[in-house]
Amino acid sequence: MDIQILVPLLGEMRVIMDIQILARLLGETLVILGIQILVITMLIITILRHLIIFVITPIHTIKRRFFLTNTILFYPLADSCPNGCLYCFEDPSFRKENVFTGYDKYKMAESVKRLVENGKGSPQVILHGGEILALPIPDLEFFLSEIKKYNESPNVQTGLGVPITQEHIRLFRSYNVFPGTSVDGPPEFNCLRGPRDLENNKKFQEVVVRNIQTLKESGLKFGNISILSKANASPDKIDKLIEWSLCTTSGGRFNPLFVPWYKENEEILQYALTPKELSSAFLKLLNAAIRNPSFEFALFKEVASALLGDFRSVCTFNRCDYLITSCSPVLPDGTVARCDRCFQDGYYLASQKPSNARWKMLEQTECKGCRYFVACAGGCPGEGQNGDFRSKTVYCEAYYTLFQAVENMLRKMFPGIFLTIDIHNYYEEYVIPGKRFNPFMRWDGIFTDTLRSMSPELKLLGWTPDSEMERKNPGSTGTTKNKHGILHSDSNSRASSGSGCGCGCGK
Amino acid sequence: MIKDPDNFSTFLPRCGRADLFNFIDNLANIWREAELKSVVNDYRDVSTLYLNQDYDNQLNRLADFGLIFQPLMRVKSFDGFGHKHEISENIDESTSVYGVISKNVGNLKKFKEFFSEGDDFNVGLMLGYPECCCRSYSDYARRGIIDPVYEISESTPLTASKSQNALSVDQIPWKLQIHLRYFGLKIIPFFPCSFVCDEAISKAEEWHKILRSINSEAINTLESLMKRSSTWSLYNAQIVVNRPPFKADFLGYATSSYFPEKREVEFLNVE
Repeated sequence: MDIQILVPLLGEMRVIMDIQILARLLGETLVILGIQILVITMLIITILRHLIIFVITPIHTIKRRFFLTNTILFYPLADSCPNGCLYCFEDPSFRKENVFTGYDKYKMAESVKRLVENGKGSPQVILHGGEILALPIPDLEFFLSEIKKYNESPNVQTGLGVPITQEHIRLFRSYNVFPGTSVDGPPEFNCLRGPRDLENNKKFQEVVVRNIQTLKESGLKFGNISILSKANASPDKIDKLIEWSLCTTSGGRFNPLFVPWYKENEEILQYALTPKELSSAFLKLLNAAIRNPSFEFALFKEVASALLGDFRSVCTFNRCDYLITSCSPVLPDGTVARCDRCFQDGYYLASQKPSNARWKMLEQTECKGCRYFVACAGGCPGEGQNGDFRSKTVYCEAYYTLFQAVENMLRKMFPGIFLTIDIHNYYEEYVIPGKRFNPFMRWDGIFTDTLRSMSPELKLLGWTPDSEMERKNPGSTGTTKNKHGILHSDSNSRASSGSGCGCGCGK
Repeated sequence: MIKDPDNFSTFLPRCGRADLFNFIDNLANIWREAELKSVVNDYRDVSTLYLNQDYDNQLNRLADFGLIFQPLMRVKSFDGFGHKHEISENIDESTSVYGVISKNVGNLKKFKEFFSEGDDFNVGLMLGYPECCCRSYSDYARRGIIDPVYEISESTPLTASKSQNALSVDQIPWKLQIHLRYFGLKIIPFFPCSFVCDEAISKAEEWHKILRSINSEAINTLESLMKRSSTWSLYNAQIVVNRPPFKADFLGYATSSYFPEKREVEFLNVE
């Protein structure tokens, strides 16, 4: 071949080879780069995941549990509510004795500011008590603007007894208000609310119905509180109440009728549900909440929270101290009172010192041996039997039924789950020192640290590393330990032993 | 075995009466002064006293009056009222020294002996309480009743039984209302054998004089607060003292030995 032809050919071949090498190099680089990006991304995801699991979640859990429990109530119309509901639990002497003449909104705002500054975390501030829709619009706006300083979405509680105007809707929209309504069902069920004479009560009910329609048409979301009584939740009525709630309010809170102890008249007492009726109503509501995901039954979540160790739960199950209370109503003169449920005894101001005497004694007396004491602690002191805060809640039987139903559900859905009631000194060991309780600790390798840190308490239940190994790999250790709460769910081993778990618990 | 809750007492004033907190604090100071004065002025031989934190100043003050302090035990400090002492080994700010003061060393030794033997009768006599009241209290104490308001009511003539475990005591002298002591409202520092005991009334007059000599204005206010009808009830180791619904100024609260059934006493027409 002519050299003159060969040289350019060789040159071209070299160029081609160079391109091939370059291409290969480029490819390899891209692959390496891709792998590097993948590795870095995975690393970042892992770090973020651990950050969420070990730092952010615990902080939020602790914040929720300990700092977000305080509720502050603005009570501007404590002495002048136009609704006049039968079961109002404010002290009637409030009004008889003219304790307040009007309200001082600036003093009230100052008190709320002080409470927020002196409190921990960010409390929930609610415009409450009396019919807040009766407030003059400028004052309503004042209170909303004050609440907005502390809560992104101000919460107001209304019995809907005064017509909602476009001004109200404008304010609710511009302040991003989340209205809470207090309605016990359709008009014939809502009869304990509103004026006590028939004619005015009828007008009141018409206003309530119109207001609900207005709220719906305006597209505002709202939550509702219904008080369960013979007027709306007796066996023949509870289904209709649930149906109404599903269509109208999507549920919310369903509180048992609170009968203040001074209300010794037959009129209110005859409306209180019997323990059996209340238990049955709770179970129906629970069923409705399970069947309809959009239906809210707050008590269900609160009972579950108390069992799962998430104490964002309601004050009722949080060992509320009757002398201090976790809720702080700000009265019309700016005075900070105890929870409005305490108004029933005619005292408003809080004690200077807290006390844990009530639950400490209940644990040894009325509630001794109760399966759910750890999670319930005797309930709300304001609901104490015979109007005595030293007693356990008058609704004990109904709460017990609900706790039992929720416990059964949790244990069936998550076999092996740990509940707060499995740790007899849960309050002292977890809540007081602020330790995180992980009900799923036996499932999640990530939480092995928690499992280890919990082992002293778990040992009380018969847990040992050997028993855990045996549970995971039956027969691997040859252990036959079978103690409270851990291996009980193994029905075969119970049957074969012939005498329960052998620990004397009777199971 | 029921474990009593910690020592605790408080009161819940009605709306607008928050200034009562300060009054109660002031009353406690007046009582401390009165107890000291009762020994200095030879009204009685000994008085009990708590020393805490500010030891040097307190001991100096006792020395100025010619008084000697005899420690009896180191106890856990508490505010307000307590039914019993919690003995503590710690020497720090959370504890106080409970002891007795007198001008005479012999009296101190005698008192310490009676105290360590748990001889409530002689301890009471040395503290200047009436003999009949010392006898009845030592009897209650022997039976484990450390806050015998209900039992004293039962021993009071003209006490009516409203229902089971509920008594109504009518027309008693205001100075003997020992069931208001949880808030520091008291004229006598001992349990009378009955709410109409003549010996106790005469002692109450003497104590009233001593207290008035320290701060007559405050004692007038004390009188106005004590001259009222009230209710007392014990349940689940918690005592609540209250005026009848809606006229109340106080809801008092303290702890005592466990009692499983509610016991209630209503004090009417206090004179």
